[in-house]
Amino acid sequence: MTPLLELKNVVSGYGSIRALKDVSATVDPGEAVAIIGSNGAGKSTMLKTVCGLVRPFQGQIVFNGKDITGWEAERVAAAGIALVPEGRRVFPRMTVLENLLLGAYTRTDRAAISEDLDKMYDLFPKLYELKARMAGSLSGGEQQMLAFARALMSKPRLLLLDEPSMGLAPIIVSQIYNTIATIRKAGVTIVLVEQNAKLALSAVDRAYVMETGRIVLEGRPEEILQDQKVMRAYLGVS
Amino acid sequence: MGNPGAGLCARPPERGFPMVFEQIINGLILGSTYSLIALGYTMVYGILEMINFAHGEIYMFGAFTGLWLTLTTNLPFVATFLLASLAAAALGFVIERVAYRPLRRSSRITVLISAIGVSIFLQNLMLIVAGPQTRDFPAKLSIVTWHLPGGVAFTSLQAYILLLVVVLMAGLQLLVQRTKIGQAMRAVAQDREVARLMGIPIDKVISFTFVLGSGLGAVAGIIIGVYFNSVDPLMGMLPGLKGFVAAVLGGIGSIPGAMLGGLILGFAEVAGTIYMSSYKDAIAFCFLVLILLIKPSGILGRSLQEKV
Ligand SMILES: Nc1ncnc2c1ncn2[C@@H]1O[C@H](COP(=O)(O)OP(=O)(O)OP(=O)(O)O)[C@@H](O)[C@H]1O
Ligand SMILES: [Mg+2]
Repeated sequence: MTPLLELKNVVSGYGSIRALKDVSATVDPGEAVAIIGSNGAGKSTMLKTVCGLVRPFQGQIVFNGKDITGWEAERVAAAGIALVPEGRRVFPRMTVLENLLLGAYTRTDRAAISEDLDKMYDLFPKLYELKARMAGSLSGGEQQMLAFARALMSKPRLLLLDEPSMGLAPIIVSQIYNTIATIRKAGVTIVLVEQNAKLALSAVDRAYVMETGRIVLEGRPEEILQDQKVMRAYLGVS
Repeated sequence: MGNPGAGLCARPPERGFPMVFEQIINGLILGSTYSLIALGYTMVYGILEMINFAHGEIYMFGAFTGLWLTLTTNLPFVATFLLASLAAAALGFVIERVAYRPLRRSSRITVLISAIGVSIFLQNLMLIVAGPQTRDFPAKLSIVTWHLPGGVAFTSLQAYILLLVVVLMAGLQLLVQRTKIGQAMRAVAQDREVARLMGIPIDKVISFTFVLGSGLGAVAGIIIGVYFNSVDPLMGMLPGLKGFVAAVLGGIGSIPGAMLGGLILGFAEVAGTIYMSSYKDAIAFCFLVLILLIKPSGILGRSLQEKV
């Protein structure tokens, strides 16, 4: 199977800081892949580089058969990659509905957009109740739902999730992970970044372990869970 | 009244109600031009967090283009007005492309210096092209004066100006709140990175913001040029600064704030003209100092922490 996303020897970072040092990875269509690793390992940088928010210094990124290396973020978004950013980042002084419609910014199929809006309200009934509220006034969990729904409104082929459980109560986290399972069933390919390794590994087919800008391990969740050395050294599990 | 520019100070001071009424109209007109200027500053600041110090020169350029079209063509005034505003909007587009966009990743001070450079360049260019003298603006308008009971006079020019400003402000509000480009502008102002993730072409949004702000600034320049029947190459300096003060007063980045800040400043200045006319221009800067001391985020602005 040709991968949906492929990173080939990507070097990337900020100014003179190299946060990704020679990263290669693949994601197959329909697959859910986790990227785990401790603070500052380069997980977010990897996602930002894929989305075009950070330009790679070297290497190549191929998405859906197209070389998207160095593309501007707006072009990558239009090509079918959506990111739910770390910290949710909803537009605080816009309503829930406006946030959702911005998710569909690159689409022109009006009828289908309003259909998808209804689908989002089915998936997150709470958002329907809150649709006229300013996004900044929502709780953390509600904002996370909104960030998910906003990303899905672009009808992405590939959904990138950056620490969706961060700072949320356990009950909300389990809701979020149920949603991830639902989205997967709908056929969306997912890359999930988490610091909480056990949580992430429970939700995916395959995972990469990152450490200081490099991938140090790749495998199925049960393989990674069995690697005592990795679990201890990088993931803080004793 | 043959002279359309018989505006603020030209009239003999009358007493009682007619004077109050007249000063209210003057305050509204002056204030709404400050609002129009302030909108350009505030929209650009909202999106780029930069102060476009060449904005006063766009105002001046609008007035000069309007004058030039009036003198060299037979176009009706409405067409002159429109073309001059479009020309100034195009100038705003070019300035952003040439002087600001290449510095997008530079420090704020670099961009500020570039803006001041553009401002000085445009002033001097106009000094060379048009000469330093102040010119009349013989707008092709037939102006009617209405004499209302109680000795109150009101001109059709004043009515046109106020109507135009109301229409522009309402239109802008609709554009920003209801249209797709308006949504995109607000999204870029609130979180530029995430706006890009939504697929919003931020370069286009930034260009559009400059075009819009410059067009509004030019409208203010033409209004003032016609109303006071006076145009000169340095005419943008003081109104430019005052428009900036109005934007800060209302809360920089806030569109309703710019509208409010301009009106407050306009009324304060007109009141100042009555009681201490030689200090009129100082009022704006007293406001600036006061607002920076009392509430730096402005009347309708968000506090700085919130702004992230
Ligand atoms: N905007 C930036 N400018 C400069 N350096 C940055 C920037 N963002 C991240 N870095 C650096 O790049 C490295 C990787 O950061 P990154 O955010 O990708 O890590 P992460 O794995 O997502 O960590 P976390 O789990 O804390 O989110 C870190 O050393 C970080 O300090
Ligand atoms: Mg991160």
